[in-house]
Amino acid sequence: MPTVSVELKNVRHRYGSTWALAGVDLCVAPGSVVAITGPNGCGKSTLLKILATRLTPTSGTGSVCGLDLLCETEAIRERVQWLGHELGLYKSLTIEENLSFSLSVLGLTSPNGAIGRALDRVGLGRLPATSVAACSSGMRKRLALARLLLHPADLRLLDEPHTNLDAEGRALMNTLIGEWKRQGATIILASHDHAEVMPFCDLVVRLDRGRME
Amino acid sequence: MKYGIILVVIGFFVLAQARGLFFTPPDQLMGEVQRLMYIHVPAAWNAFIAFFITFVGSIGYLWRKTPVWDRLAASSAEVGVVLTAMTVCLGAIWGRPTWGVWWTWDARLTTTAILLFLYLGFLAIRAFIDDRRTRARVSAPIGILIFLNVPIVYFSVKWWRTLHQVQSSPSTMDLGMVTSLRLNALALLAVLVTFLYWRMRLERRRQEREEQLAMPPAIADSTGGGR
Amino acid sequence: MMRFVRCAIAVCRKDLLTEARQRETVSTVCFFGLVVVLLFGFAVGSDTTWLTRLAPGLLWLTVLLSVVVALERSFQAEAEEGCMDRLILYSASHRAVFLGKCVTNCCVIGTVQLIVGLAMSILYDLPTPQQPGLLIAALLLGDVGIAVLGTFYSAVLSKTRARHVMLPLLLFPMLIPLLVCVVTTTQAALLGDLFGETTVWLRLLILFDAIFVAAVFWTIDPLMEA
Repeated sequence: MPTVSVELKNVRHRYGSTWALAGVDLCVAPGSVVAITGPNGCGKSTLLKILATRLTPTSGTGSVCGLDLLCETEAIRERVQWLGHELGLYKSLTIEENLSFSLSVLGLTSPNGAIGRALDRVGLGRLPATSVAACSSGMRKRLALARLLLHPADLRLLDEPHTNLDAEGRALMNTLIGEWKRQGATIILASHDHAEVMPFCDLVVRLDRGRME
Repeated sequence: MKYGIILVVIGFFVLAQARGLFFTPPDQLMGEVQRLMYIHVPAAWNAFIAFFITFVGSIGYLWRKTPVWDRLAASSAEVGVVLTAMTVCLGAIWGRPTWGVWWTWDARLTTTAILLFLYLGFLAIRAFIDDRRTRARVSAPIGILIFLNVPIVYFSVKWWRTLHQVQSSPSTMDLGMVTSLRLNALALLAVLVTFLYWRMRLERRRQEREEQLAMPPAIADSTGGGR
Repeated sequence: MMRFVRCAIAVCRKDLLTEARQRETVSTVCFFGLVVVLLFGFAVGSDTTWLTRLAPGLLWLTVLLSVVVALERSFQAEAEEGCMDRLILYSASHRAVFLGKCVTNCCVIGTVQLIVGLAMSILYDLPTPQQPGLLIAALLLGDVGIAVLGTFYSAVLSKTRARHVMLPLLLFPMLIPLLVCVVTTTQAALLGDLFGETTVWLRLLILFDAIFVAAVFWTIDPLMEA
């Protein structure tokens, strides 16, 4: 087990001529919960996408789970789960089909009942055959949460995990974060609501115009 | 110094053209029109060289992932498109008095026209992508695929319809014509290399300038704060 | 290897299932194809000898024109809800995802072609094919070629802010050799091989498919990452 889960050194990212990240240094210990807060457009999502290896930083270096961020992307992807702002669900498929699809795309077979258990956990257990097109945005968020439960990860990146969820859903989210932490996973979440994430975070980092404060 | 090289290249080109136009005998059958050959044929040859460089640049980018290969591929495609457009237009102008039509569906002419469209597409796609890295990653595969298509296009069109005259080979030509043709090919190759060099230089400069203008605010602030 | 196959099948199955449920793309595309077949009849005239002679070319042109819409959709649909990001990050292999899409597109193209071909044989009063085996070979090889390059350019366009019209502009010039091959082979299969040169065209067609399948699968990784 590496001594740091995430390490970023002077990471910058540019879209065209605007800098989304302007030199971010970050060091996160394994098993901690870190919140990245800040106003809209401060670079939270970009930072998470870089950690998920979806974006290559314009400059800077870093490592995730002891693996190099620029070279060992394949290995990082196997250990990291990313829940983006857009959930990446297929509207034409049912709730259950969405889960089994994301498992088969990874090339895994679903262990017996794993999908059912995940759905029960997020409160969608009775609706596996509902089409996602007919789901509310809260239900879709819960479905995306169920997808996170399907396989383990060393690092979980959650972009705005509480949006669209009702009070019960938020509580569930917080419980899950606590559980993942106990299992030894590192969690980095982005949120614009400072007060909400404060209680259960080990570290709160504030981003402003692409820089840490 | 750099401009000196340009002068040399232009001078070489002008001399080679002059030799072709004034100091080589005209063709027995085609007459003075044949002198178009001294620009038409070298342009076609060099266009192929340019597209081959694009192919090499694309492979180089996939292999090395450094922006210089992408610049090479793109610049070469631009020069190649200009040369191909020239070849096609001159071919049509040549065809009118020789065959009596502006266009024949002959293998070489048609292949060149198809190439023009393929590489215009390559440049168009590049224009639609803003991010440099994305642009390079997307255009390198296209550069490879298009070039692989060149021989297939050529043979398919050739078998589909063969109407063209026998390829002008040195044995059927006057020695003076051969020398002029080769000299012009070399001259145009020099032009190609010069264009390529300047186009790549321009692109590098543009990239540097873009990076300078878009300095990250952190750096801008720290220099401001020092004052 | 198992993971690769499973991933490709999952993508293919998902796309076909979506298609079967929504029926938007295939029905529109087929309808478009039928209208074009009808229009060609009016443009060329009702003389069936003419129509018969032109049929192979018209068949492939109609198929090309109509499937463009379906090809465009295949990667654009992924890009909409952030599904593409997930496929890139969490799939066994980019090649498997691409293969899945390719197979789906091949099925779509085949279906459209079947419908358009049947409509043509009825409306244009086409004779029974002289060499049915050759016809099937030509259709399959042609579909594979269109599917591979079409899916490739669909992936390219999903990375750009290009408008819809770009796909035919990029794809059609690439497909010219394929068009020449399949039209001549289809003609030979339909009306009889007059000059005995079908083998050459069939070989070139196989070569075309082989080269582009290999090249596309070799270069698709960096393209998907872009």
